[in-house]
Amino acid sequence: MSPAPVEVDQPGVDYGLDRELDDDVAADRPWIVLVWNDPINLMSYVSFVFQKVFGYSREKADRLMMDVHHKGRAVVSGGAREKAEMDVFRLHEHGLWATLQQDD
Amino acid sequence: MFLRKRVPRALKREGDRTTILLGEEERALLVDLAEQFRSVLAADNDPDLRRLYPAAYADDAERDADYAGLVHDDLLGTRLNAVDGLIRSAAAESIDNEELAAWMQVLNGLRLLLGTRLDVSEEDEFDPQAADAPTRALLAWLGFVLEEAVESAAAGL
Repeated sequence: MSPAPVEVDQPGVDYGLDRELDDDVAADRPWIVLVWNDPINLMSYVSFVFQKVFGYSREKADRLMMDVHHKGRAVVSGGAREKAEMDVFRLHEHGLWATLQQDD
Repeated sequence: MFLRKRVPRALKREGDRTTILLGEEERALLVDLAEQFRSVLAADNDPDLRRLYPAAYADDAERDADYAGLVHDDLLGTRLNAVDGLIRSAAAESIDNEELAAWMQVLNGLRLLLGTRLDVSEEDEFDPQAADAPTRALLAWLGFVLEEAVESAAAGL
């Protein structure tokens, strides 16, 4: 990401001169948790897991589940890497196909 | 994923518990399947178990290996505990929410294992003449029981 400034909400303005600062900005970028469509899991089960693991309302869980079903994947949570990894672990415990990656 | 709707015939929410409506043969089948699931889990070398241990970092093999090393035994342990929980409560008239969670974990785990073995897709049509028809019928039956487990669990949230 060459043209500075990179992130509006970062303190100071990053003109891309300081490589270490660039790395810090990359490290701070939030992580997102994705759930991928699979042909085995029941739709009702996927929605239930979203409600149980994240405390989402039935409506929000159903909407995310339908996104997974129709678009092939959905972002279901995110945050710092440790938190995102814990969310992925809890989804794996429940048999969902989940991954985490740094947000673009 | 696919959608099902039925009148409860396997599991039914009643107050803070779930009544088991399954007959003796169905309960025996579940226990038998749970025991087979336990053997496959414990041997831990069947490639069809891969959907039970998905990659967390799709594009970062090093981080993913760290993650797998950290969680594999935990994932295995909770599944073995769930198998024990189902087998212990399979003959009961009703189960509490914790036992219901164990049932769901075993039902879904078995479906992931069988579905991977069958290489199922969402477009599959059931062909009663196919060689794998019995396993597909079993997968569908497990889905029917799981669906009612989900309904009961959702009512208990």
